[in-house]
Amino acid sequence: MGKVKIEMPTQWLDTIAGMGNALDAAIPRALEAGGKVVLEKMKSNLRSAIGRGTKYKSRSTGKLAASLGVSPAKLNRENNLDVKVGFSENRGDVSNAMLANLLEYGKHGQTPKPFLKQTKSSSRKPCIEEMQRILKEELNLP
Amino acid sequence: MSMLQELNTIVESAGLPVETGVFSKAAPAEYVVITPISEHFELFVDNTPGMNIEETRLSLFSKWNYIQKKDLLIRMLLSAGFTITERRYIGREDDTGFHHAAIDVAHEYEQEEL
Repeated sequence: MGKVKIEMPTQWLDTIAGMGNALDAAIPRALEAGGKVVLEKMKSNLRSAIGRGTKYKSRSTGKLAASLGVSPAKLNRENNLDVKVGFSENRGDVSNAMLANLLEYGKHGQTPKPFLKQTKSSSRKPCIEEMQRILKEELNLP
Repeated sequence: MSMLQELNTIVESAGLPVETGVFSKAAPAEYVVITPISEHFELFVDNTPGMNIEETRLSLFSKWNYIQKKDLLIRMLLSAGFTITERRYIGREDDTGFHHAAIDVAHEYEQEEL
């Protein structure tokens, strides 16, 4: 499945680097708020992509849209905190990641409906702004 | 010239049949479909957008070795000033025999007055 990353500007991170304990509590909250912004955008883009312009009547079950969610903030392999917006897997017959990939990139005879790339382009700015707003609020910054 | 016009010219001069949105004719053994992804405004001056960034996906389908055409397309896109934001081999479709590769491009254009 395709993957996109949204990161906070380095200059901003440098200004808050020395804040210690308060920062440890504030970062997960900021990440979760940013994740929510991306999730909402992705949900609406996914809904508009599913069943649009199909050759035959859509047989969508709603399982893919329902499996979309955001993870809690956790440490990743590089020891950085992150949240992931994506699909949970327990669909059974086929994997949600495979279906999402088919929608995103299409195939011969099926046009691509790039909901993931659209989400990245349109939610990057609002996501960063929301994370900065929460951090400023939590750390009492001007 | 708009982004889609530019892309159509580039892909055609690479010797590949191309259509935007959907390939409506009977598909040849090698072809490209262009799908617009997004457009967003950057660089505002006096509350007016000064620049429009457009993003588009080129889906290359080939029943043969797709690498030469993919590399040719990338060279031509780069020399025409496009930014390549992603190159990805999606896979070989067993039911149709097509190799499928995706190239995402972005280009900034000065925004004309709306």
